[in-house]
Amino acid sequence: MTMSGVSSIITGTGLGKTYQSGFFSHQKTFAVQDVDIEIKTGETYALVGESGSGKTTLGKILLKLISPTSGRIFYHNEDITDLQGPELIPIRRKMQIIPQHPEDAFNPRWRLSRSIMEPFLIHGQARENGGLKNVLLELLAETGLNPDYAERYPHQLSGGELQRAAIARALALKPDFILCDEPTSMLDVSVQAAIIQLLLSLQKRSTISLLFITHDLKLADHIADRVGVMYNGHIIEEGSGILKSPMHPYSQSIVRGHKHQRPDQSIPSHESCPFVLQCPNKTEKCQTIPSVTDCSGRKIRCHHPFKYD
Amino acid sequence: MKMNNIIEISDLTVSFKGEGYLLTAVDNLSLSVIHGETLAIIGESGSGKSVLGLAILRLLPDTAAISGSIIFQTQDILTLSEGMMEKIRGGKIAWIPQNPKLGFNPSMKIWKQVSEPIVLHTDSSWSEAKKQAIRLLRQYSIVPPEKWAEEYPVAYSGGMLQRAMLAMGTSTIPSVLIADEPTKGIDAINKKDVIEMFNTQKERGITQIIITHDLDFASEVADRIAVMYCGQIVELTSVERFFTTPLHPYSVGLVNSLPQRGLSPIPGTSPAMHEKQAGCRFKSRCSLCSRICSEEIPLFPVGYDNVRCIQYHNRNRAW
Repeated sequence: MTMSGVSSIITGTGLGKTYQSGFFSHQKTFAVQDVDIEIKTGETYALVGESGSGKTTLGKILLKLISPTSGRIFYHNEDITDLQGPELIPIRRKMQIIPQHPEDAFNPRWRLSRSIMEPFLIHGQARENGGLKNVLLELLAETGLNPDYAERYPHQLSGGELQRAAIARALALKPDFILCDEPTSMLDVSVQAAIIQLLLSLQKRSTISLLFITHDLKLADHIADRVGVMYNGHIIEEGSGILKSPMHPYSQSIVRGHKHQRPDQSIPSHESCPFVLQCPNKTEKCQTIPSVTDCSGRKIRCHHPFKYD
Repeated sequence: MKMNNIIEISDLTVSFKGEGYLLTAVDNLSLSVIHGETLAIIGESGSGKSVLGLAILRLLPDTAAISGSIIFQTQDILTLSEGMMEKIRGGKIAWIPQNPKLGFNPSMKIWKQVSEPIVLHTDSSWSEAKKQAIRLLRQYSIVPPEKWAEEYPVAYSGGMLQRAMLAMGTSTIPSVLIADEPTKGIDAINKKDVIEMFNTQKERGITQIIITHDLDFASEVADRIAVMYCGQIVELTSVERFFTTPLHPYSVGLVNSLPQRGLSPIPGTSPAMHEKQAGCRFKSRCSLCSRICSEEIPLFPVGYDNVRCIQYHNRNRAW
């Protein structure tokens, strides 16, 4: 599915995030470094990479849940980087998150009806009791949950059912962008398939854009229009069909299952290629950081990408 | 007991009594584990996989009612004294728990925890055991081992803790290793390490029982697959045949749920375990269900495999 000519819903340019810790903040972790990303309306974009590569930090930056150290964020071409507090509320309504651990995302002392309807109260959209109840029943039906579940507590649901409830809550305010942060990594294979199919069918019906964070390459390849591969805070390759024809040496190494050491995230990779120490194809040129270039329909940050004839 | 079997489980039933109900987690299960094989027990959450593993080690709480027998090298584990069991647990049968973060004592250095089974089950002193622990850490790619041995679990990443847990589990060279969901929460890159580690143990001749719902992982490490559903084994087959010609409609549904096989979910959900079950446990989700499925169906042989479904020959029409 080509997305050319489709307007972008969310764009990040030059995004960076550095975490500081220790005495006098002397320890730095460069979680996201110089990332440009554009997610188009109705698109499913999968962000893949190993633990600690910066996927979740980047997703939360786009959602304005974390402030970037550098770079700008645009929502429907409007710069939202510096928006704060009440200015953000109308945008928050349109951008939602589905968490990795739904059991941690629900108040254990609240019935599901209260948790799912909370967004209406926060955003001042409380309707008359009858109206809200109908919306709740619609949301439960849309996500395949029995209406009786509204009166249950989170511990009375299985992991898959609770993830459906999290999706119902994310859909409550009719968002146009949802960050799915490894929503199925803790679920059984058949439940995973059901949740993914649910998300994809909802997306088709409502033209929602999905940013899908996962470390499951096969899943990313199956569901996404485009995949971005993250390594050491950078998107090093972006496009479609990466699992079948990886062009960046790092993408090739994860697709083929080669072992490599984790990068040292306390050192910024401003000067050399972030993968230079592990790369089998490195040359002297790799001591300079490659810029992102278009190569056979992909965006690649590499001096020597592999080209398929 | 057959010569080449290391564990023989017969008619094992494990149930828990609740207020007004009886939850049968393992239901009249019989299974033989062959010496040196890697057997993957797969199934969805709540199917009784972990309870089966804990029953083999007799680690279930006192509230569990257990019947049947678990023969390990001629001894029935269920009739042994606690003293005898302590020698087997950690010495001859090792357990790798689901969450390595909870499996380690957070206030004890890693070397001491990896050394502990060696001191308990052999005549080694703590200093000898420490040297062996360092060797094991190196073997499991925790380098430099001298540095990491002196760290507390909090300093380790998830993948490293999993490797350290395997080092601890195999420190006494057990005959059998039981691992509960060893890839849960581990990313694709670290998963490759875990696959390599289990294959190394296989080469060392250790019999492995791997409890998992990660089918890709099972395909990489297992020789045979036992599929559990609602406390029963519904299919026992080789790993190759499970992925190419699964027999039970539930197994077909599991394989079809994989992204590379179309991501087609199995309709419905498992029945509640505390509800009284009769006949095929899968019948409420199976499109092949007929009157005969209300009768109790045994696990019966089909060629080299075993299946608990009368209509297995129609399985591909189920979905």
